[in-house]
Amino acid sequence: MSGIDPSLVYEFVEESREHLTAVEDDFIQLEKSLDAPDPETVNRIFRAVHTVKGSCGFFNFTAIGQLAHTMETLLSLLRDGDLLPTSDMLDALLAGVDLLNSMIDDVDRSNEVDVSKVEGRVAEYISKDDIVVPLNQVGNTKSEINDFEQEMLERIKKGEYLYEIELNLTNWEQESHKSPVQLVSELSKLGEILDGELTVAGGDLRDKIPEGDTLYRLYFKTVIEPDMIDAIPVSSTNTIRLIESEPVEADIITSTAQVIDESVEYNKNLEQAEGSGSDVKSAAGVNESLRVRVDLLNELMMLAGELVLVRNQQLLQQDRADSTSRAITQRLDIVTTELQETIMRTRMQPIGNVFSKFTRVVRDVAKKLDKQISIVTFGDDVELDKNILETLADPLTHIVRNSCDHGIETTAERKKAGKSEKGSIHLNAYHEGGQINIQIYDDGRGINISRLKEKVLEKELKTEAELARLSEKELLELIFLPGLSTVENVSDLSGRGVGMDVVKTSIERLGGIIDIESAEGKGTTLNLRLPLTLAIIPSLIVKVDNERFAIPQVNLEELVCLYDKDVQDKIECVGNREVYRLRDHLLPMVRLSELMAQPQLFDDTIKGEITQRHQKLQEVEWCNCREAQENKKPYYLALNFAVLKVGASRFGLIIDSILGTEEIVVKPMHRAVKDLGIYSGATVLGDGAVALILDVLGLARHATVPFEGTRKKEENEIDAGIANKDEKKSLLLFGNEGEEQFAVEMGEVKRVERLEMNRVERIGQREFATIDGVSTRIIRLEECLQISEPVGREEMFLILPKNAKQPYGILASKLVDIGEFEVDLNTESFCAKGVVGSTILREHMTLLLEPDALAQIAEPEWYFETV
Amino acid sequence: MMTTGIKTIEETKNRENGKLVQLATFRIAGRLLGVDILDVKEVCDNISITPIHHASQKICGYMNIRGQILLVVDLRTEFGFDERAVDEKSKVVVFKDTVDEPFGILVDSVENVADVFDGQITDRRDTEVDGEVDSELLEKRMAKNDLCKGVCPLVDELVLILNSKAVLE
Repeated sequence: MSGIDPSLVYEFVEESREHLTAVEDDFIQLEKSLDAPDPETVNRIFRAVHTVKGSCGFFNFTAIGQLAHTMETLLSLLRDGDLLPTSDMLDALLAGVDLLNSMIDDVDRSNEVDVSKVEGRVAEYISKDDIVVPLNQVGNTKSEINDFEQEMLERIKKGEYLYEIELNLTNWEQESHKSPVQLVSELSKLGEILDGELTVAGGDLRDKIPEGDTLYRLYFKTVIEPDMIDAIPVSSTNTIRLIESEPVEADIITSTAQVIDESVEYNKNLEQAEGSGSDVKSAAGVNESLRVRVDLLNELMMLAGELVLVRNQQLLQQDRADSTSRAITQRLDIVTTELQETIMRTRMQPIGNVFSKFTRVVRDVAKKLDKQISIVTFGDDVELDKNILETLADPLTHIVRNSCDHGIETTAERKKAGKSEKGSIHLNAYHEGGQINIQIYDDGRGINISRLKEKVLEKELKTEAELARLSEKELLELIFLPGLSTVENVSDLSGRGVGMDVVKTSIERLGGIIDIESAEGKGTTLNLRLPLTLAIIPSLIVKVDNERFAIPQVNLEELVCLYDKDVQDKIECVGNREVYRLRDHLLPMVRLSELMAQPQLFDDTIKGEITQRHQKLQEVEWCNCREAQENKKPYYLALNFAVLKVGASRFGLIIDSILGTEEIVVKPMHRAVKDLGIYSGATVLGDGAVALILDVLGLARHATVPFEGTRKKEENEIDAGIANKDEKKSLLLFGNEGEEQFAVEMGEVKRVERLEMNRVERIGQREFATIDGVSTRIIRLEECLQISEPVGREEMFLILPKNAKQPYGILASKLVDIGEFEVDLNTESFCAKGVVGSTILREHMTLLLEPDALAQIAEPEWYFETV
Repeated sequence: MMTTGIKTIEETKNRENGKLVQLATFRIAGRLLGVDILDVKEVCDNISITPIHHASQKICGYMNIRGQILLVVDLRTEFGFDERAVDEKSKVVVFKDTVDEPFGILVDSVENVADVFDGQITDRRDTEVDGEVDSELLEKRMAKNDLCKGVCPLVDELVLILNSKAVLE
């Protein structure tokens, strides 16, 4: 391989890979219409294989060239309609493509690969059909060679071709608007002009420039093959002729001869070839993309990341009074953001690139297992970061294979079950909440839970008692256990016991989540949720003990702040752990400061010790607080925590304060500290300080937060405590500082808006606030109902109902809770318009309101027309 | 930069004591240590370190150098000295990427560059050191973790040569 620029080889590999990937799809296409193959598809395949072969000659990759050549020969027969494709033939060709692919993966050693077996399979179809080589044509070409040309031929090497080009320079200049010098330079790029002869009409150039045609005949040596001479930029009136000494290899004759027949001695149409240079692809269609090295992109990405940091620093530093500098900073801000986004986009690739592979996978597996399976993909154009996409390919392939192998039943089984004979697999990708969701659904037999259980017991992965405690969903998740394979006979496709756990690990490594749903006899759905990119993530910056940490927003559910007495009351103690009752779900609490101070995995003693200490601390603080408040001294007690989610579990992380959100550039952890599970990386904040990014799953593990199973149990205990009668209603509880507590059904609430009372405008008796650019009527409950006057606050809440006739909102001075409540509605004790009934919630008499009826009391005019 | 080893060079030139090695020297708890200058990328002051909780004791934390995140290692505890707060003389000696992933060590102060010949450096990792002299005590401790590549006498002091590749092991 000496003497060849490695970057050229790299390019060859990349290009060949691209061609071969495209070809696979075309084969599948072809298979659908065996009787009437689409000539364009066949042509595309032919061109692709041909290009691979062509470049091989140049690099001396003989094995690849040999195989590609045989394939090409067969393809040329298909192209010319001499042969009709059969399923077996396509199998052979696909096997060829596979082998080519694997040889290209290790191109330097490709010559050591034995291609004869696959080649033989392909060649079988060629010899079968008794193709008569049209020798006479080859002969004709041969006989025309004169001595001079023979001499020229001796000057070309193997893999190169000699052409005789005759062109009328005068016409050529008019048509192409290029000078002869340009022609020569263009040709020189493609090959070498061995000799040339200029015939000028006038004969004597000294008199004047001759008016007649100027003819130029030249001998041109190039690697461009006869059927690719489109690439030589010469016009329609010119003739290109291939001069060939003898057929290069015996079995190439069919293709070459036909190629010669088609394209040599043939007036070429310039329109296609002009300006195309040597790029074969552009003849087929303009290609707007450019191949760029990934490491270059990575570097660009890193630089953009640094620019973001500089920008952030500038934003902090800027002098707000100076309007010129402010304008510049603003522009810098905008440009940086756009630059960063654009660079991010360069790394994005459509998921279709991965999806398209599965057509082939499904076809092969289906064939092998004698099943009928179709695959449908949606959202092929959804884009993902290149790194994620690459890592995703393997787990996805595994899932799809599993679906084919274990999921979809055989045709007979499907018939028996009353399903359509053809099973189907759906792949669906879509964006949601800044994440990519991928759904893999098959309508197969689903997961047999009892068999799964047996298997788990048999392999002693879990005990019977443990299994008994699991919910159905948790049982399904057992398939992610390492070392489990439910299929009796291990096939070579899947079921080697290194299955779903590997899939799960690789998805989780990408910061993604996988979950499974299955209905026995109906099918299985796997849901993957993945981040768009790994490099830049939105995150929440929090502070603990004067240190800052970043929490990825993906893991963030909500933020809760407790004040004064709530700090003391609401954080309760269950066993050795602090918990908070968040809308009737028990939320285990973790104190980040304690977690940071304790490098050991939390065990019961540590947890107990922490809980006790803080219970005491809280008491002391609350005492101080009360004392201070009694003495009218300002003393605030507040506790912030973030509700974080890991899979389906949640926990509260207690922090000192919340600083805000920031888009951070993720840098991986240093090798020496990579093993610390609680961090997922580090980042440089706007002010230049380094902050660590918390790994929420790691935190949960370190603090041994109870997961789904235990959590359910605790919840059940609570649920059991609440009388399990009557219907459950999702309610928003609120109050007006008076004795009364009110509730509205969540279904009727659009949202709740914070309202500063100084923003309220008055027109006569009516109050209005501008919300979403719309003047919204504020309805005070005391207007409509006989209730006590509320205490005025500077900041109140406006409950905006759904489906309002006119924009209005109900004023509340405090929100109590949102949650599911068992409602035992009493419709008699408090009877008024606008009130559905009363009930006791949270030990308070609560009036369940009907917003629309309240509006009707406050603004009867709105409802006149309809009455 | 001034070289303290000038005299040594002259002495040894005649002895043809092998290749010239330049040592970047610095002090930790008063002891003079050195590393091959070719392993050093830069020396950096203006130290502001973000601690990494749960990491081993010698890991001081992360630091930002022009947008790059650098792991800072404090060898004091590893050498058996007490911890000490960063002051204005403290510096971070940053190693090149060829040594390991980007990291630096926190030192009390940096000294000069010493030119020595590799023949002057004695590798005593395999020999028993008495441990009576102060520097030998440290050498012994360092030897436990393969941290000491050898010792080399300068004009008036012995320099312990730090095996930078072993720092993070």
